Amino acid sequence: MPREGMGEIEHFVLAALLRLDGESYGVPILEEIATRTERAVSRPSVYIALRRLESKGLVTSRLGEATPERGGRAKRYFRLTRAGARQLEQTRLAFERMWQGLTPASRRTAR
Amino acid sequence: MTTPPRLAVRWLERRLNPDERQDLVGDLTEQFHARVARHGRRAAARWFWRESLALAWGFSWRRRDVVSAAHERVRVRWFLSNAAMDWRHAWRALRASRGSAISAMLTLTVTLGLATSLFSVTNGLLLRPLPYPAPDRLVRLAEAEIDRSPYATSFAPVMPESGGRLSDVAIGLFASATTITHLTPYSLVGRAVTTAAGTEQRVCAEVGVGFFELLGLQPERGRLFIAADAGADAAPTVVLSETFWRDVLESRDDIVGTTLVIDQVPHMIAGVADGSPRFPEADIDLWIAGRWRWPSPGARRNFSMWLPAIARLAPGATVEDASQEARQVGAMIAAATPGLADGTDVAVPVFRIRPLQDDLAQPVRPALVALGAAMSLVLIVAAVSLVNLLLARSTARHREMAVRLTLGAGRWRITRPLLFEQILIAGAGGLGGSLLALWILRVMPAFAPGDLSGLADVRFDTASFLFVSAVALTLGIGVGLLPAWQLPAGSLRDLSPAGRAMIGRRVVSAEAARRALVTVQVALAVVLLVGAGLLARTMWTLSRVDPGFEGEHAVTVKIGLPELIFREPERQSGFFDQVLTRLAQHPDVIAAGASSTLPLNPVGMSGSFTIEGRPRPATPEEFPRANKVAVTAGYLQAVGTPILEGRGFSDEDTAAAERVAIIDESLARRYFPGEQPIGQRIEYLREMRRIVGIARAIKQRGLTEQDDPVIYFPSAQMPAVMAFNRLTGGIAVRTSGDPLAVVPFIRTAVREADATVPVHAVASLGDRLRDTYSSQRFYALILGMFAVLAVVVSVLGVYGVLAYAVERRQAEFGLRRALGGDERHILGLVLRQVAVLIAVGAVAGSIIAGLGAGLLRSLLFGVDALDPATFSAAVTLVACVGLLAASVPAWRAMRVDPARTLRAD
Repeated sequence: MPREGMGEIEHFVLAALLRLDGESYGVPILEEIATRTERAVSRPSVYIALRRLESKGLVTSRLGEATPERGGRAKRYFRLTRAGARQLEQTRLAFERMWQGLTPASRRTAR
Repeated sequence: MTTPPRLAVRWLERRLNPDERQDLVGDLTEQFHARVARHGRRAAARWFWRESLALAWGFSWRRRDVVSAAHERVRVRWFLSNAAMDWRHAWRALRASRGSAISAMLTLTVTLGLATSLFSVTNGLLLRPLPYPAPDRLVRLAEAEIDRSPYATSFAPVMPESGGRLSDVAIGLFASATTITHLTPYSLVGRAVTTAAGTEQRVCAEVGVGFFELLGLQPERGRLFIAADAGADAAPTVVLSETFWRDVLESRDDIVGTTLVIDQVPHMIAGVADGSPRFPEADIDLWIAGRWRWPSPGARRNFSMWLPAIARLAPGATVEDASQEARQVGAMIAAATPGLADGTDVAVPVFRIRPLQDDLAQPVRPALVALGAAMSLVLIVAAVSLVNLLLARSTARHREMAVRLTLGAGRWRITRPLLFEQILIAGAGGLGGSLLALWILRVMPAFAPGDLSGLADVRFDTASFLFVSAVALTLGIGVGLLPAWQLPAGSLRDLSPAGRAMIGRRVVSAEAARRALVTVQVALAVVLLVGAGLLARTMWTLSRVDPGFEGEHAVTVKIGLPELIFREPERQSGFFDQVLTRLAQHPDVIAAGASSTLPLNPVGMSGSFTIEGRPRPATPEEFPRANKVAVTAGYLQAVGTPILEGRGFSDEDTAAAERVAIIDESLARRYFPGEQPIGQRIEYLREMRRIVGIARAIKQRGLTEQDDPVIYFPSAQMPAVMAFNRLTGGIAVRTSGDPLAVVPFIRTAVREADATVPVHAVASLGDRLRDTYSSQRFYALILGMFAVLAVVVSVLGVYGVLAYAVERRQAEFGLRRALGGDERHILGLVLRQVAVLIAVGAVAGSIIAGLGAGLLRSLLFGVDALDPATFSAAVTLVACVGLLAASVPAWRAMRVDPARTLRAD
């Protein structure tokens, strides 16, 4: 059993990567999270989450191609590792188990 | 194609690591372009800026600990809460030991306050360079001493500042000197200056025309002196001080080129001096272009005016070179002046050249040394007691420190609250100290005697304060942190009985240190008490000296008679007759009179005389000498000087009557021992005068000075030029009530006689007398305060040491009691400790006082610097107070309950 879970942002980032076919760079990740969660996400926290995930071995990164609209700067592609996918799955299961059996009524009392 | 704001990009890139720049800035730029298409360029640019700032801020903060940003937050919070805890801890510790904490703060306050004011005063009065360019090249030139040949000094006007005068003969010779340039004579004069506000006596300086150039000063308005101003046919010229221009002439712009009436002679105003050259004195109103006539070498110096001068050393020349040249000039004068060699007329002048800075500080130096010595003593006492208090505080903390170390606290962790404690103490002490210094510097000038008048200009010296604070802080914190570093690495052993014994040993060594420090305090208290005692006795003796006049109910005013106008004797005596007649009409006035020299003024004339029927002395030195004072009939009664024998002057002693004189008892004693002087005749200025009375001797130069023999002449029988001296002479009035109440009446009387004659230096004679020993009073006051302070501090020290010792030896005393030791035995044990401490301190203090008493000698009067009574009184006082302080803990030691103390361990 893994000792530590993930923060919300890290969870979002991993999920976004999964939705983006397992590999993508900053802009699509930011936009994916923003559209899906319908929240304004803080740019630094996403980038920091990406680096943190990389240091934990949950994602890997490589520098990609430069494009004119980026002012000639390279993209950094992040790819979900197997460990990352497993961690994401575990987190999902943990959430699902936590939610299991909770009815809309009990959700209201929780409020 | 549009680009994102270049400045934002550059700024952001500077804040990111190289490996972050590519993708982060790239992503931002990509999104920027998307936004330009959707929202327009300006909105996109605004967005870009916002995001850049957020990114830079968020990244630079959190990147430091990528693993856990939360951890970083905790660390900060932990540090802050620890600091807050340490502050609280320090505050609690201070409150717990309130007494010693407050004493430490007060001691620090006294130390810093005194040290700062001491350094400020020293810096301000002795070390501050003169405010002129190249101040170290300025020298003062004066005649070292004037030989006492009979006529040499007869007519030289006496100037308020002594120190010798340079013959104008010499100035002519010095003009061609090679070692000094810009030789400029000066003299301080009082002049009647007439403005719209009336005629007033003003402090003026007559200076050579090179004066301002020599000092390197610029005009504020108009011009300063030029060479033509000294010409024989040039109009009299004056330069105003900025203060005079501002306060008296209300800063009028059109002043340059107009005239100012000085001594009833119109002077052309050349300009206003920039700032205020504080030379020769601080509060000069006007500088008048001096137009001295320079007699050629060989002329008799009898009627010449003698002046001091300032000059600038020529490039490369030293003070020694200049002195060497001055000696040659002296020799030249001697060779060129017939009659010099035989010593009958005048003496060979000896010139003294000294750096101006030294010369100006010279009169203040001995007084400052005494003041400084007293302040240093208190400073040492305070510093010693500070160390003592901190030592006491730190020994008391050993146990606490041992517990905390043992429980696993790090050194730094246990040091921190101690450090904060010291900072709190030092902060409070520093604040108090600076306030004290400000207060001292503000209050001191009010008490300061005349020769320390420069004190008023002394400002709070921030550099001194910072220096003293740094020393005190280092010392305080060093001693304060001792307990944290003295103990070996934490071990429970320190709490065991054996460990406690070990702490005990350390405490004992701290005890010994404290004891030594208290001994030092006792010694210094004795020193200060001796000083204060000697001055107190001086004051007492002074209060019993008969000044020869009756100071209360008498007022004196000086009259600034312009010499040019009042040259004729009739005009001068007419003026005084009118004023004195008018004064006599006032119901409160008992007597009024005029004199060429009022009491407590430098004597205007002194010189030799001969006594009829005695052989004429062979050498000038053997002539009888006396001060000569011209007075009107009512004068001696007005100042309250009694006629001991014979008669006083009356209105019958006119110019036509027989020439008469009154001598004082000092002259009678010296030149008529065992004879009846009344009826005998003396010769003065080739006129025979009959002695008609003997008056009580007046302390003309102040209570501490010897009496000089005095001859009084009726003013009607003196040539006018000698009958009155505007610098020292004036009117004395004796009244039945408050003497100062008649001053307006005096002013009116003088104005009615002549509206252009100013009245100045108005003071009751009693106040003037008290002013003459203001130095003694000032130092007695200061030393007295310091001595009280030192005694209090050392008594507290004695008490503290003993109380602590008794506390620590409770068990021992209990045991002794249990074994049958009686109370007196224990009392003896305790008091013996104190007795040794006080005895050693008293002996050391007496020795120091004996060595240092010489500093005070110039201030003492009627008491020897090594007066045994004062010394033993000081020692007795310290011993009694010390034993009194010791009696409280000693009493406690006697009352130790043996049963309780034995149970406690």
